[in-house]
Amino acid sequence: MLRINKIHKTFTSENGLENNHVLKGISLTLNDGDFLTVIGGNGSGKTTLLNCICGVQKPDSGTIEINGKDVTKLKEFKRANYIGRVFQDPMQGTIPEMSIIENLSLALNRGKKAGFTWSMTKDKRKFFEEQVKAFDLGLENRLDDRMKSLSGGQRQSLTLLMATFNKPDLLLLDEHTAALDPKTAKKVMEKTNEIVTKTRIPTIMITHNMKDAIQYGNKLIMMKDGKIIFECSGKEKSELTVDKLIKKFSDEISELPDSMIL
Amino acid sequence: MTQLTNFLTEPLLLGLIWGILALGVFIAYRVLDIADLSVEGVLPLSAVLSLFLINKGINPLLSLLICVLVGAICGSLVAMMHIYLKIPSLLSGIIMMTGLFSIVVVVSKGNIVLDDTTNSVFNPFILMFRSLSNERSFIAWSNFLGSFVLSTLFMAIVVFLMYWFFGTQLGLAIRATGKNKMMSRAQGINTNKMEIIGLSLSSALVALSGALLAQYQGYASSTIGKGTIVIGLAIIFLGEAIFGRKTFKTQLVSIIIGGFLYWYIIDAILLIPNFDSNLLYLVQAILIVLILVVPMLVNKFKRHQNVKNIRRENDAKN
Repeated sequence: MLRINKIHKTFTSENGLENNHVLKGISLTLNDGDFLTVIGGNGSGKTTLLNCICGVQKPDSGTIEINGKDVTKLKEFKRANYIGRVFQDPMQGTIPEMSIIENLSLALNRGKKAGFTWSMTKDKRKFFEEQVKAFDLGLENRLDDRMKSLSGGQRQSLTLLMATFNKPDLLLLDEHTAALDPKTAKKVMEKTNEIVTKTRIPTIMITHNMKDAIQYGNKLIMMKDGKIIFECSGKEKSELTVDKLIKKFSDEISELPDSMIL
Repeated sequence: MTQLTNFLTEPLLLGLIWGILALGVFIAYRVLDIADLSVEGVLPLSAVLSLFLINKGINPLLSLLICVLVGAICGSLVAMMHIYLKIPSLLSGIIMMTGLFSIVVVVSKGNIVLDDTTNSVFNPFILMFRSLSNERSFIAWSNFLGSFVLSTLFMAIVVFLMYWFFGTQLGLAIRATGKNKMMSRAQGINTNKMEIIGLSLSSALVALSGALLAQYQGYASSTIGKGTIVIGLAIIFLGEAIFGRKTFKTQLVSIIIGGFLYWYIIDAILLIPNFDSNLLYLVQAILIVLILVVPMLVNKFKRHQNVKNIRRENDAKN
């Protein structure tokens, strides 16, 4: 469970003269099984919100709780024990120069101490083979290949697997299909939905695609200027359509990039 | 030993001793992606400190271990300057190098000689070989063989430990830190700690190399460290030019071979009649440029030939 209580974040320019109030008192609650999609234009604060949750940035005020534990002051790498993340850039979520199995091994160790245990045991390899096979990527026999030999879609799928196979308390997806071609994006998106539904990990997904935002998940928020301007869930969400959303927020939506509406 | 056998054997020894340095530089430069110039200070510090300690009556092996420890501390200081004081890593290394140089001069007073040349870690092994034969001509050979066996022993231990360590979960985390900090932190890795551990290990190996070199030579001048980083990098690049950068294992092996090759090349250059040894630094600088550029040109030429062949095939089809 994730509970965000009135977080504020202001970025100050180097000379201290200009202030940019990016998050203005955002509050959110996610329960187990909740899948929240976030939409909003450039500069609406959606990425900063995600960065505050995972600890890349510290909020100026407000608190963030994961499963009842206050993590607001916890360092990013410590918070990673509770959070699985998939980035927008497929290059960012993995290490291209390392083999697939080394990448997986790093992810499996998340939340444990990096000690002197050997990173590549037979049991682990078997476990990874099973996991990758279940993901239906056809990569189970290529575990020793470099990550960089894979396509963006394959890499993003593996990052998704790495983010979820040790069952984090929270999954954060930052436009994780934006860099993929439409067909691959759809496949990765369906895989994402399958995992989130099956594991019931509370999930936040920022998306550039309004259709995806409406189609997937049980909660939706729309952000503008650091505030949540629209929020819906459950039945209301399932009845939502792109047209309805556009009618309701014609002004706000006109500011969105075309790619988000199409 | 004749001049020829000397030519053949000396690079083997230097290759092993400097190879350990190259492995240290490799951890900083390739694994962590930090150009740590403090090696230019750590190597001479360790060289003079080792002899200084032995002259003060400390066991040679113990002096070696102390030097390794001092090296590790220097490395962690560079990392901490970089991490906590936000000084760019390149500058942190230069600052450490400059600071250490004073200590080197103070400890060595410009030049330090082993009071008793038989009092080094190499000596027991040299004596072992010397006991095999009483012939006069065998003295030089036993010197070489003893030193070679000991250097090989150290190299073997270092390579084995490195291979094991970078295969553990901790070693994997250090490698990940050097490649992608953002991903590493997302996987719960304390990247700051990994950089401190990594640079300590790097400098510890550099220090081991420096202490071995000084004990092998029996003396060390305060200028011994000049060009260290260039030699280290040249050895790494030379190995990579031949073996590529496929796996961690091939990288380790390529550095060992690179060490031998490098010193054979230098040795060959020194054989040129009337060669002014003052020009050696210039030669080293030019050599590293060649090592970097030649493989690039060869690849370019190969690709060019490939394109030509494909074009010719296409023309033939039409």
